[in-house]
Amino acid sequence: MTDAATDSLSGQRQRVWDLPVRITHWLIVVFISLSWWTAEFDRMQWHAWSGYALLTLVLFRVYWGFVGSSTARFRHFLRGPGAVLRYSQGLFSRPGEPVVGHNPLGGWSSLLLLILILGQVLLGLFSEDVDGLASGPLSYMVSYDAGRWAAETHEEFFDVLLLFIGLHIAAVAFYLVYKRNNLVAAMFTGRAARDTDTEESLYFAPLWRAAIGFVLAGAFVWWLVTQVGFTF
Amino acid sequence: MSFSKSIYRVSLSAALLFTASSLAQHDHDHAQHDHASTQGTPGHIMHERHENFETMGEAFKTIRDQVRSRDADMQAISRSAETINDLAQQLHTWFPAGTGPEAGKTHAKAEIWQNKADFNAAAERLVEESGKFVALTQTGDASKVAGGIRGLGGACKNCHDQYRVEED
Repeated sequence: MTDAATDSLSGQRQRVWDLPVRITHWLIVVFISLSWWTAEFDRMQWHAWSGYALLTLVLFRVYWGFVGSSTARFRHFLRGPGAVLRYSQGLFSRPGEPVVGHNPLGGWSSLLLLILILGQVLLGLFSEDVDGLASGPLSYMVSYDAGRWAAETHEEFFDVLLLFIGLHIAAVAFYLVYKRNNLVAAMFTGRAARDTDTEESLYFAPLWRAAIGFVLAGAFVWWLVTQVGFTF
Repeated sequence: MSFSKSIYRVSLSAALLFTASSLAQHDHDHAQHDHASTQGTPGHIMHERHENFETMGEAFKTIRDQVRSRDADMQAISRSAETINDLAQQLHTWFPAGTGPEAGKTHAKAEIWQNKADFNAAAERLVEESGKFVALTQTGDASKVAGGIRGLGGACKNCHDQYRVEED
């Protein structure tokens, strides 16, 4: 547990990312990897489960974007074009404009990645497999042609997703090497260098609220894939 | 127009544009097949083959979609099973020499013609499985039909894994 007292004792670092944000981030990494692996090695039942897990995580993250801790909220990190432009102009300055949480570019990049993952999962849900055995649970809602289109697009769209994941990793590497700012460690520990210029006090949401979100997201996905149709 | 609204509009237009262009590409692919030449030519044979596999895929989809609905249409299931079984019996005739990847766009691998006996055995397995499946549909018991889906799909997959090109 951390509080203001230990924060001020440590002096240099402050709590930035809450536990739900960190867990969600790293589970998304795990399940995108698993989704790739299971598709590549034809473990399609696992592939479906991995997709349901990703859908649950993305839905939870959207919920947390409204009711989570300060740095998790869309309102906090989705900034207007002025802020984005200003930040971009100082991108190559060291150490650069001080930021708590997502910077104005990183905020939009996170939203974009969430949308891309959501789109990819939706394509999977409607996909029609040529053997019929690995069709998505919502494929019964669309025609065979539309389902095949979804499946082919699902496969091609993964490359688009990979491209943006690559960009995300490249940006993090740029911050580490060029700006000497270790964002990866911050995403593990939740703590980042204290920014003395900003007086912003961050709000941290209680964990029970995250638990409610996870249960709601999970229940919704469960309903979507079982009640609406059933999987083989 | 507020900033968030314009962002919303831009993303929506981008999504629609992406969908529309993909669909146009899809139609284009189909149009190419439809122009495919006259009776007996490799192009025609490949086109017919494609249509037949699509008919089987659609029939299998009808079966699965019906089985998962609460009031399954047993007649539609039965008809679709017969469609699959009828086509399965002709399947081995759809791959004459000269209709492989050398002749144009196809998912058929060259291995089909290199291992013709093995390929035909795989086709025969579909004949058997679909025949068993037709018998299941005649029981009128949706749960028995559901239990047979894995075997039928497995016969499709058995051959596809070896002889169908995965990537488009």
